[in-house]
Amino acid sequence: MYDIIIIGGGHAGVEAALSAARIFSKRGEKKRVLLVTGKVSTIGHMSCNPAIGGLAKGHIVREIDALGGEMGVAADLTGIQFRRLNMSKGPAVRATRCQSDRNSYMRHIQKVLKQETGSRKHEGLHLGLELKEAIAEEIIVENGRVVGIMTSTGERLAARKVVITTGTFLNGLLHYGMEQEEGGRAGDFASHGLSKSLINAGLKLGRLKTGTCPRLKSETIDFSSLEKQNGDTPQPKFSFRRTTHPLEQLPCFITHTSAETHDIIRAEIHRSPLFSGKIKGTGPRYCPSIEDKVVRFASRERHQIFLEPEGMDIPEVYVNGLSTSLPIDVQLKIVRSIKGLKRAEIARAGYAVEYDFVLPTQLYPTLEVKNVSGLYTAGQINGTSGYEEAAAQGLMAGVNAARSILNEEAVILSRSDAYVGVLIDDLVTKGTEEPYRMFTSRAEHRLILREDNADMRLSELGNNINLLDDEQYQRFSAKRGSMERLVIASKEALRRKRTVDLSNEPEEIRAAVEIELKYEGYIKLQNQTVERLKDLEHFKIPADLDYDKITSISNEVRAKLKEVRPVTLAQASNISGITPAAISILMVCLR
Amino acid sequence: MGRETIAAISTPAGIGAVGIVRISGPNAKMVLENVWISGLIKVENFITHRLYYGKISTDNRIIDNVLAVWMEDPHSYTGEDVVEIHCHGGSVSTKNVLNAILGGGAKPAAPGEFTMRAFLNRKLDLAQAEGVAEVISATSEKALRLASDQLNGKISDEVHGLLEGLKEVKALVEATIDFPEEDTELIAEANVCEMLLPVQKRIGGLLSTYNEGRLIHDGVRAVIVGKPNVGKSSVLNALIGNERAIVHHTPGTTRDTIEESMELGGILFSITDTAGIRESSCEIEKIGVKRSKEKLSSADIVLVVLDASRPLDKEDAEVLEETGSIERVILLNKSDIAENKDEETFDFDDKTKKISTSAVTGVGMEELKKALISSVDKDALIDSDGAIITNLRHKHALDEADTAIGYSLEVISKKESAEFVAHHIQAAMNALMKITGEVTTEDVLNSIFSKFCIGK
Repeated sequence: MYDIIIIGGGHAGVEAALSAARIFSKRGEKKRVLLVTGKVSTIGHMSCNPAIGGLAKGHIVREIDALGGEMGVAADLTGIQFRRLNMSKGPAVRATRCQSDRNSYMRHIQKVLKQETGSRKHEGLHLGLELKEAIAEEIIVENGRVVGIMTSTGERLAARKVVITTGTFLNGLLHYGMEQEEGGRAGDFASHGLSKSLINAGLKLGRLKTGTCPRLKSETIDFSSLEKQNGDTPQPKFSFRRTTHPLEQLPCFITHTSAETHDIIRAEIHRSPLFSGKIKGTGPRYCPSIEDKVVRFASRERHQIFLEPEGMDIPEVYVNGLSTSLPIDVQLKIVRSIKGLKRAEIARAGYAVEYDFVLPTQLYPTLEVKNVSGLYTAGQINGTSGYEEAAAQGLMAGVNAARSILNEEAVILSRSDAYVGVLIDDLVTKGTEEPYRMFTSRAEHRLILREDNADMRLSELGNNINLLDDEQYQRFSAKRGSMERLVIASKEALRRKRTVDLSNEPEEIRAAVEIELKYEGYIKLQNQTVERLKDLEHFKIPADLDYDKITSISNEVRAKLKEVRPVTLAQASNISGITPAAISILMVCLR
Repeated sequence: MGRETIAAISTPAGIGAVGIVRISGPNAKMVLENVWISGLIKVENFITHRLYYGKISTDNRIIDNVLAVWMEDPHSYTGEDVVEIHCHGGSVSTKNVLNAILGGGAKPAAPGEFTMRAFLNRKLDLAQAEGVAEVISATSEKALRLASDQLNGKISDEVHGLLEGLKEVKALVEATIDFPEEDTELIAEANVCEMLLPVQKRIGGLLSTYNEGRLIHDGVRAVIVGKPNVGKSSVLNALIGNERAIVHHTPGTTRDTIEESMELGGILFSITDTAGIRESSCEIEKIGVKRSKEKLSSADIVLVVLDASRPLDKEDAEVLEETGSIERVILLNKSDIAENKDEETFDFDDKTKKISTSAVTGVGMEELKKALISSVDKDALIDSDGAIITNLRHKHALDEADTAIGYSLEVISKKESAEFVAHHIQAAMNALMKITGEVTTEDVLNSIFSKFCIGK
């Protein structure tokens, strides 16, 4: 009997497994966590481009790190190009991004998981984390409660909680031109049984589509003619912990599509599964395929293409900006119409993948499925896209599954606490119709949700829920101490029209103090708004509230409330179409 | 608590002797202090649950004589600090007091908000709560019904247009923030300004209709004129039933104009008493006379007061000539002491309605009121093509949006970063969304993706 089984070894599964195992181990609990995956050797694989961070995503990585998650450390240790974006803009919208060495990243993640599997034993049973290579075929549900899973070999594994983090593998269908094959991603099996058992458990599934770009053989590219993009020095870091950047730094290159590229695409558009109607799932608008860009923005003469190294010892280049599901022969023609790629050869073709996802409004903000107690879903299966969004959900699902086992109160981050809070609230409250990606514009409290203060916002909580290791917490406490001291001293000095000498302080602290002072007015304003919302956030709605008994709300509002079943009034107020009057009535009825 | 201090008129709309404006929230006393004038007791020295007499003023102008009471948290209806101002009834005077209060730092209360706060602070039990839920839903239904009114429909159309404009600008700004690596057309700052200015102009235009809206809500301008000491101020006092203007037999007592509002037959009148028009050597009186003449030019109707107890003289003739081209009613005042009761002396103009009045006995006042009502072409008042702002909440929302757009433009001119521009544009949108429905972040994203080729 396992306490928690996690299905899937992607970025969500890894954070879920680590957070649950670490919480149990830190508290000395005799609990067992199992990660089940089709291929142990590809745990932590980066299926799309090997990059982490970027606008709003970098923020999420810092938040994961501040809570005690792994992604930030992994990115720092395995990055081969680091940059901070938006440096010409204000501190809230600056973000860190890195190119990762795909293999190093995977190795690091697997090493950390191995460390966690450790050697704790109790009465002959392994304690902590275990890894198992198997294909989960079925979720076993009894009386509305998950009791375990069944593998493709018919093995039954009992569990008190199950976290599903299977990404795009549910009924995955790969499109290469007009040809299709079943698969979770290139080279991996799709999972059919799981979709079926989720439907049997009463869950509604939707269908989404996403795409990847072709990979080219490095030695066939003429880099000398292309614009070079180097990383920043010194290299920015994701983690608040003591990490280094051990790998050699590599440049990216920028090129553009040409008029010829666009002609080729127009001539071959009938062979695109997207345009012929073969693909039914909705694709992400922020990550359109090249055929989509050419058709929708016909007046654009060229589109920007980034050539990104896949890693130190991988002789492949990711052609970012060239996501496509056109047939392979067309892909080659397209590639060769681009400057610097005249003689390029395709190592692996781009493709589109269609997959089932769980409509996330069926989840509580803990990521537990509302009508299957003990079952959690996290990551791309919930309709998101991106490693960071996946990892954040995995972390929260792992934390909440573990805390539920320990009978501890659930951890729900609010929209003013973190991007992670915005992400989960958006998903469970509003749902999504395309692969959901985080943008800073989704965060109404953007000015206080900065990369620089992610630790100030979240590390105390991370420590309280037993996720932070002691060294990280001490580092954080020391930093918070000096920050508070320096902010107070600087404000006092400002009032007396003097200045405080910060030049001896570490760069990190100096920058943070300056931001606190310089943007005090805006920060104060947003904090006031947040304070006003706290009332609604603290207003819990009982799970068994009978909306049919509330006669004064309209049927439309009632239907929405019954569907989402919000946990707090704040969540209720974020449901589209819920009026302030309806919120007032709920308040009245709950008092 | 972080809660705002809110205010609203708490008595039902319509005519009444007393109107109550309620203020609730942590700054209730401070708000009152900002508008309170009293020689006797300062607001800070108020004892809870006691009535105090004083005056409400705004822009150095006394608006009303009132009674005010402070009820200390938690011993009040809402459980917060509450100040109630008992002012003169009738929608204009209470509205003026509310306006002053809002100027003093309170936010307009949403429907049912006082009651909601009472719940939050556990001032009402469950049984009462049930009842109030009905009230809140009734209020919102009423609000809904109102929203479908033509007048309101126009306003929400107009505000939707403004929001649409702001959404477009926001999309531009957000695109530069969230997609720094895209080679989308660089968005020049001037571009954002150019898009904001027309929105600001339209908000300004809408705000300016508030005055037009006032004609409906704040009344038809009636101006009382006449030579000195014919009893103009007595007429005003008799009309409004209140010793508003200082009355004295000394000619030229009234040197400044005095405005009062009243409701007659469902129409609001703003009645202005003016200084007697005559040649005077006194500088102050000269200014008063000049103001009287200015008031005449903006009058919708003029009440020309003549002294019926004396023969007409040159000054009367002058007044009659000044008002000849304006719609007027002639009041033959002091009829109680008039020796010359036959009106033939005053039979100089057939078209003009003449009423024999006595401000002292009240004779003729009812007739005067009827004359005022019938002088108004009611259809003309409501007939207007564009959206008109009559609702104080709407006006405040628009003011707020206007200020926020001002900030965005300022931030742009100071070359501050785009997220601060976005912050103020969002604030403007939030303000407008108080009038009409919401614009979600999803709408802004839709706008970005439909305009720019985004995505690597």
